[in-house]
Amino acid sequence: MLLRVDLGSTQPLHEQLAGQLRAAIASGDPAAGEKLPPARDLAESLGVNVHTLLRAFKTLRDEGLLEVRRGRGTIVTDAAAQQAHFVDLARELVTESRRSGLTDDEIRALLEAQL
Amino acid sequence: MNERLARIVLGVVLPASAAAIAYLPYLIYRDDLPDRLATHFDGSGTPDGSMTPSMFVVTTSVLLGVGIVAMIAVALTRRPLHQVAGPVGGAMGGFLAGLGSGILAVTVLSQRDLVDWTDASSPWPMVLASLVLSIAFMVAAGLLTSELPIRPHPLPDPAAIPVMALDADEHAVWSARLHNRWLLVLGAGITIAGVVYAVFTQWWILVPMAISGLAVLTFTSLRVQADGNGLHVSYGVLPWPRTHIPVDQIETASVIDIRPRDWGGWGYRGSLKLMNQAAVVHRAGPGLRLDLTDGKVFAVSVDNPETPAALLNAEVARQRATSS
Repeated sequence: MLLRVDLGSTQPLHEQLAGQLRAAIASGDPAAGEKLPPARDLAESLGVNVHTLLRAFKTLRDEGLLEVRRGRGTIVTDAAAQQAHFVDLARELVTESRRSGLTDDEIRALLEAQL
Repeated sequence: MNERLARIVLGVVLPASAAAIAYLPYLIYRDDLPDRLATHFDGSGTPDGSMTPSMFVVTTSVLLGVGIVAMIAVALTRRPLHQVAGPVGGAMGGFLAGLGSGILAVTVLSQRDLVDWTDASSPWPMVLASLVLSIAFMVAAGLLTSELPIRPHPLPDPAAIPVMALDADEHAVWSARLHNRWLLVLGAGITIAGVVYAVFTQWWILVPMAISGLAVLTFTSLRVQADGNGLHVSYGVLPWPRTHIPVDQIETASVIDIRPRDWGGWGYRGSLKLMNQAAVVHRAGPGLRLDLTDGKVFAVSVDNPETPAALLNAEVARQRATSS
C-alpha cells in the first residue's frame, strides 16, 4: 500500500489521506481482512500529525471500508474493495452536481428518485 | 585491518591458537589422566561412555583438523570469495576448530587426577566452556573473512531501477505485510513436538525446541515499510528484532527475482556486518534489492517491489539534492 500527501496542496491533509487510502483499498492492496500498519508509524513517515491520519481512518470507517477491532487494530472490511468503488462514484456524483449548481437537497432528491 | 594481516591471522594465528588450546593441556597432563576418559553423559550428567585418551585425541583432532583446513583454505584463496560459501566456510572453520580444541582441553583439564572415568563430574560447565570458545573462534574467523575480497553481486539491471516522481512538498510511505502459512505450520509443529517430547523425556529438550520454534514463528509474518527515512523490516509481532536501512546508506533500490539458493535458503540469510550481504527470504519470487553505498547488498521478499524501489530511489535522489 502506497500513501502520499502533498503538504503544499490546498486540499486538507486528512482528505488527501482518505482519498489515497480509498484508492489503495479499491485496488485490492490492502486486501479484505488485512490489518493496516500502526497509524503512528504511517503518520511519522508522512510527516503528518497522527490525529490527521486517524481522522482519515475514521472517514473510511464511516464509509464501511475499515473496521476497528479491539486488540487487533484497524482491519479492511470484507466488502471494502467493492464498497470503495461505490463511495468513489457517490463522491464524484456529489462533486459534479455541486459544481453545476445543484444544492445538497436537490442531490438527495436526485438519488431518492433513482431508488 | 588490512587484507594481508587478516589472511595471516586467519590462516596462521587462529589455527595455531586452536592447536595450542587443544594439545598443550594434553601434553602437560597426559601422565595424570585416568586409563579411560568419560566422553559421553546421560541427560542427568552421569558419565555413560568412555574412550582411551589417545582415541579421544584422534576424535577431537578430526573436528579441529577440518576447522583448521577450512580457515587456511579461505586464507589462501586469492580469488574473490563466493558471497555465501566464503564467509560461511571461514566462520564454520573457526567454529569447528574452537569446538574440537575446546572439548579436548576442558575434558583433559577437568578429568586429570581422576582415578576412574565413572567419577567424572557433570559435563555442563565443560559443554558451556567449549561452546563459548567455539563461538569466539567463529566470530573471530567470520570477522577476518569479512576483510577479504568477495565476489561482487552483478549490478542491478538498469531497467529494474524505477524512480517515483515526488514533488518537493510530497511525502510518501509504502507498507506491506507478508504471511507464510507453511512457516506457521512448521513453527507450531516444532514447538508442539518440543512440548510433547519434553513431557515424555527430559524437560530441557523444550529449551532448544522452543527457541527454534519461536525463531520460525517470528518469520511467518513480515512488515516492510519504505519512507523518507529508508527501509524498515519488522518480524512477527515482537518489536525486536528489526532491520532499518537509512536512506543515506542506499545507493540504488531495484527489483529482483529472489531465488532462495542464491542467498542460502529461507529466513534471514547472511549478515550485513559479517558477510556484506543479507536477505530476508520469505519465498521464491519478486523482491526488493538495495545496493548500499559501501557496496553491501540487502534484499527482501515483497509483492510488487516496483513501488518501494521507485519510492526509495526518489528519496535517495532528494536526500542527495539537499545535502550537496
